[in-house]
Amino acid sequence: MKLRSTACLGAALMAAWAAAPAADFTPSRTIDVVVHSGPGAGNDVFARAIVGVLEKQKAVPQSMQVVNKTGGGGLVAMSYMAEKKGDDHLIAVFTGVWWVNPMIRKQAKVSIHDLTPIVRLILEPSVMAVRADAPYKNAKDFFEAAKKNPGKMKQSGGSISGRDNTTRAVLQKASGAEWQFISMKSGGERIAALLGGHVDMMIMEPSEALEQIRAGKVRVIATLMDKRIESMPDMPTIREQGFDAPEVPQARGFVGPPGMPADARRYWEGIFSKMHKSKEWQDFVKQNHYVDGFLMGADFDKFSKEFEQTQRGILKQAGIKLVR
Amino acid sequence: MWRSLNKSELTAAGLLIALGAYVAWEAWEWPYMTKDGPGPGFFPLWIGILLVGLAALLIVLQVADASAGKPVEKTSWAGTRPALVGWGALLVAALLLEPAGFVASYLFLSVVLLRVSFRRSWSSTALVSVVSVACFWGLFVKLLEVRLPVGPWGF
Amino acid sequence: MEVLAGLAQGFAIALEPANLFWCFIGVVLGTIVGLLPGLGPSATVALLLPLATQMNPTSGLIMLAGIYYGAKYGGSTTAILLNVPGESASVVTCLDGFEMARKGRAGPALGIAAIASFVAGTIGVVLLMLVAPPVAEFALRFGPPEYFALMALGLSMVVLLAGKSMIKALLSMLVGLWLATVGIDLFTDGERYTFEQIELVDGVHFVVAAIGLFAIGEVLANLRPADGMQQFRVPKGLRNLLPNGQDLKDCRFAFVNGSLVGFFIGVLPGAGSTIASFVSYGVEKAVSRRKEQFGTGVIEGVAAPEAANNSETGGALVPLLTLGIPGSATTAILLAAFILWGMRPGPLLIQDHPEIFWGLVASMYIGNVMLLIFNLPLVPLFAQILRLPGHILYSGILGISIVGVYSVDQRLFDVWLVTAFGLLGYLMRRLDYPAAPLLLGLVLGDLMENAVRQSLMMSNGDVSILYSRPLAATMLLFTAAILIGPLFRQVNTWRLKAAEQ
Repeated sequence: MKLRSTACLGAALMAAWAAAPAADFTPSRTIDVVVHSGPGAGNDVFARAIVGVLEKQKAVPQSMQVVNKTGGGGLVAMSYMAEKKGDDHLIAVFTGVWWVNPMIRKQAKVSIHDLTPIVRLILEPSVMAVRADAPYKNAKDFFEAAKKNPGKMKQSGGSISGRDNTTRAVLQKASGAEWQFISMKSGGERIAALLGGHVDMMIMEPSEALEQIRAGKVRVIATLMDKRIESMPDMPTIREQGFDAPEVPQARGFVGPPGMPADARRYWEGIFSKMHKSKEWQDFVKQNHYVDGFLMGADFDKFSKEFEQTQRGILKQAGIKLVR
Repeated sequence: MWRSLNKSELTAAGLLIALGAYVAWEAWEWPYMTKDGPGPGFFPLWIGILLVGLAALLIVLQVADASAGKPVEKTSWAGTRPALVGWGALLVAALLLEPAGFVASYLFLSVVLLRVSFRRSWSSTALVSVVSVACFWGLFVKLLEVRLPVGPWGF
Repeated sequence: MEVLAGLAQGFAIALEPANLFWCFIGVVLGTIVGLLPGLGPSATVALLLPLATQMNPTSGLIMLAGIYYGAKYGGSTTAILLNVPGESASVVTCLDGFEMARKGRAGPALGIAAIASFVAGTIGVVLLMLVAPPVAEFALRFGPPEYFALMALGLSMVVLLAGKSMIKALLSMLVGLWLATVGIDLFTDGERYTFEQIELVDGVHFVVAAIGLFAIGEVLANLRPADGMQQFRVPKGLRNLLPNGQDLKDCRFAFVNGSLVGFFIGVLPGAGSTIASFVSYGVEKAVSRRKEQFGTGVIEGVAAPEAANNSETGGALVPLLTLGIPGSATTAILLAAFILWGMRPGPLLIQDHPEIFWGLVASMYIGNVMLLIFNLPLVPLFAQILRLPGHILYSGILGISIVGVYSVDQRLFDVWLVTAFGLLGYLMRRLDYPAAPLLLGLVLGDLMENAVRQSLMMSNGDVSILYSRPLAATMLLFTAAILIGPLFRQVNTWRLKAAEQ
């Protein structure tokens, strides 16, 4: 008797031990999706669209809510994630500033490498746009004009550590031309400055540009990606036009807090790989003219390291002080 | 002459001079002009200089008025002690907000204000405090889903 | 003709029961949100974004826009009754609105705010309907030099906000301008005056400063044990609780001034309703026959900023709907809603989707009527709040201030900051430094600095760009006119003084 029960207990223990690491994580309460910008900004829309897709597919058994942790160009959101160490009901949307800002801000206590990588979902392409009535038909025209009128040509954009300025640095190096970069606070002001003729060029996302092209207000003169964009198949890339300007990627995806349990990470990877294959998601990517940038696991880590290196180089070149 | 001066006014102007000096001092560290126009130091430097200048002008005018024997308006500080007590309570409540949660810190604030500042009876204090904190909780937390800080006791 | 056909189509859509329902939900929610300080229209629109994206675009937009302009109606209530600006645009409403309440005229103040909102809201929609495309084209002519001139015009309002001492008003404004430099410098990405605090990297939040200086400063000045009873006179009888004929007559010009100023400033991306309300108040005071009474509770001092604040909504929708450019935080969220519906507003939106544009326009007419019907009866009711004894009222204001400030960004730091501003507000009150110029400086400071630096980057350091373009020059002339008047008077008094001695 005693022997049998001991054996039973032993077997049960064995089973429990074997089952433990395989025990699947399922969410048991509301999931917080942290976004580092305010409602309506690109990341916020991205997060809400994904929550919408996942809800439609009933992929996650609990509700998901977008939480805006604005401030410090992502630093507030990043330190919030670090505070919630090991939380398995918490994911956050990352963008390029999650690499850049910790490099240039002293206050940053967390870097992207402290967080748990989950998935990279998309790459945002960008294009070089000018006013429709401008004399430049291609990138070369623009560079020539800039060389002829040194210091006269202007580009509108955001902060100087943002992608539009790093792209400018890359383009200037490749072409030998130079032009001004005029920082403006909101995206609305930047486009308005281009449409109003106060600046000569702007680096836009294709989704922004396409509507303006359709209305005959804007002309695209180059695609700033290594490959042509699906929605603008006739627009040659900057490399095809003979300028060796490497693509400056803008990636978006999800990370978890530091020390996110392995089963939870696997769970989220599973959810996102399933979502990635769905039609709703593919439609969303197409509608917004994104480029599919699906990466997980070791590939993500590799991307993360490389991206940091390229950003570091570009920031140095643009003359921005790095603190770490 | 010294006695007829309004010392509150002078102190305030003195503090503004100090602030202006600090603002300008910090701004001095940053580029004043770049090749494309004003740098990050340009505006703050001028703001600091103007603060110092205008506050100094205020002092000069005061002294001129006083030495001309003009009657100087006194600043009234009546009611400042209760104001400072109230502000102190607000400060403590603000500092308690995270460790103790909204409910406890607001109750603290309300009790201090009602008992000390307005000298209400204990029963009135308790009633008003509890009812108002319940209103806030119901309206903001339950209805509008504002996430107010929660204390160790779950509210 | 085209307009009439469009409008007919629009009303057919807006009057569908479902759309009427969503319009109603939107304006009611908007009013409630506007009533509560802190939680602004952009946060609420964002909160309802998921719901709206499950609806069809027209109904969703009708509801979201309802929240947007509805919130503007409610925003004045706490400003008038409690000196707590519900949103940044109601700061100016505090100036005369709260003084009216103090004098027992809270009802007329609230009433005129509702009426001004209705009149201006409607004028804003009329303008949106009739002149949107040309106005949008005109707004594009505003580059950095024009923004600089506009900000200079705005800052010149300080001479109209000054009390007894012009120097003190200027000092107050300078402190505001300094606070505006706190945070990341847009052009170099360097930080200024942040003391290495993450919370200060984005600067000092306007609402935090406003609630501290106005609301908490006011409460601190009134903490006296003797005043256990009712603080304000609230007259009995409905007739005294609503504006009378004379009040409406006094506000005739304010309605027009506020509507036009609000609409045109609203069209400019990056300007916003706070500036619109300051400018319209300044214009109102500049042309008024009773200038010296402004700030003591004149009714047109409430009507003008409230009107500007509401017609700004119509203006802000212009660049969004005709160019696909969001000009403000709330319209940026509306843009997001479009993207989530799978469309992208651009210059061709009205052409591609006339039903959305005209449905929205018609619903805004209906929504403004609903808001008037909904808000006017609430006026006598809200005025009764002032019957509360001082101890309940004042501790309640402090509670609302804390919750309001916290709900903006859910940051503890803002609560500490508002406490500090409260003490500052109290001291400024005692020492006779006006608080409004500080807030004016805080809103306009970085806009002005950015505009100057952008302009000079455009011209490679040539200063003449600031005054050589015709539009900018015109606005600078106005600015000079506003500045010179009082300065001239001031110099004159100094001269007389000197002559006396």
